[in-house]
Amino acid sequence: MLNEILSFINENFQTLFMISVFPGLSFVLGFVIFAVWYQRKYLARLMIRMGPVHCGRRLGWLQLIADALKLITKELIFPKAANKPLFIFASIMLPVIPAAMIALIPFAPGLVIYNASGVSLLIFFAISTLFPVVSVIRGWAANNKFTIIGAFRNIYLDIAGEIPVFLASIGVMIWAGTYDLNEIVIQQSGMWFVIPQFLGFIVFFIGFLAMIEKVPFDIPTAETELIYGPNTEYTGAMFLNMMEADYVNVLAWTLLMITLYFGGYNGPRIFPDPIINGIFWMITKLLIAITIIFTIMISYARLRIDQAVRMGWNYLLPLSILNILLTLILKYIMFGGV
Amino acid sequence: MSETSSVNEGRPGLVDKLPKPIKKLFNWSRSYSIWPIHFVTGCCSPEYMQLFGPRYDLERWGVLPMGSTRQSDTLIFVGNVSRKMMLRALRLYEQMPEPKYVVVVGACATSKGPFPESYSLVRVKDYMDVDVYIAGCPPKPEAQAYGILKLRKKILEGE
Repeated sequence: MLNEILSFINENFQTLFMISVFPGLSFVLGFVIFAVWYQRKYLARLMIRMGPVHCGRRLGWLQLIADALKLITKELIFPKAANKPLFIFASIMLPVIPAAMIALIPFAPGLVIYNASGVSLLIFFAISTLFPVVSVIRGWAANNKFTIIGAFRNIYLDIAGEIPVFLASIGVMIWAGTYDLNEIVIQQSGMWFVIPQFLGFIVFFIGFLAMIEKVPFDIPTAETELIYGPNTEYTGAMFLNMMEADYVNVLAWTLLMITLYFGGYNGPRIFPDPIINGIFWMITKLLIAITIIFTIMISYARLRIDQAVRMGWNYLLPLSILNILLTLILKYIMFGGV
Repeated sequence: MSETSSVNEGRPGLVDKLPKPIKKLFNWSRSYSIWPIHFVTGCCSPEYMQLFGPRYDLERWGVLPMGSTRQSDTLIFVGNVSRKMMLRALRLYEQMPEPKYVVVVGACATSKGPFPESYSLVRVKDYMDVDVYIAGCPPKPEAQAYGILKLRKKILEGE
């Protein structure tokens, strides 16, 4: 019996390792803990404050552990008017969806949890469309006017942002001639796609900021208008899940941006092992990207919902269609065919 | 919206039955993550707002102002509380999940301060259990920070 279990683990060790440790669960949770701490610390330094200092010996590195422990041990409150099963379902389901998107991203040559036989980019967008649905469920289930307004703002913003993002990534698909994220990364070993797809990248980046709902577009959870948007009624451990969902969403979309436009795991050879080299460049690019996102967070004020929706439909959508046409023309001129 | 059904209503929670080291760990985590909501009704609030600016920065101890009462730990009364505002304050207090703490800032909310014969002001301690009083009219930001750190110490020692 024991031998069978051991041989099973041995055969499937790499898959188990990938699901539970590196691009999977531990990495995602570790990133969430790091990103929240890094955001609080970095934003505080930009405001000439200190940020968390005293929790943990230095740099306040235990701050997020303390916050999580406190939230887990707090009372759970279910509003009387709420739909209790849906209320719990949404809080459990929300962090799962962006985590499932991460399974499609290649971190190194061969290091991808689910190799979707050549259509991984399409599956990524297919899974990402579930996120606003569950987000509306969480707002509706709480049965509070602030959560419902926040949920509807969320769906407006996601539709205005996701269609330009998808059309911009169609430019990448045409340029690379494939739907496979791994193949797209391999083709970028010479030149990153941000250079031939520059217009597409600008559209993608603005739509991406709308998708991750950080400050210029934090319209659903506007703290000064709606109390906390769709998260208003969540307490304790369920609120912890909501915060986690936010940051896992940031992680998934940032990794997609790096994979499509910034060469994925490609980079100068530093480590002899190609897998460690790929992971190193992926994480370096991730850190640079979240630093830029946090800098944008502190530099801009929040847009109104009508401004954000108008920007999505009136400017980003035509630009992304123009980008597809330009890509077709450029590819026809350079390679003599599409 | 105000009516809630809580999980452990009126009975001792699971946390109280746990062994001592784990309780200590929980108290440590609570003491480092006080998320206050401030009930601003008077002129102690400009002094209170300094606490989250560059000079006094209470986020060094993990104090983080939150938007919603559902995620807050501490109700901070900043300024005088009239009979009508007390109803709203009680509603906020009931919306917060256990364990919750109350801090009273300034003379008005503590003991009616300069208006002892007022017909409308009330004292907070007549309505709910108060953990920390901060004296002054208005208390300086240093004094308020000291009060919140007192609350931190109280939580760390298990009240």
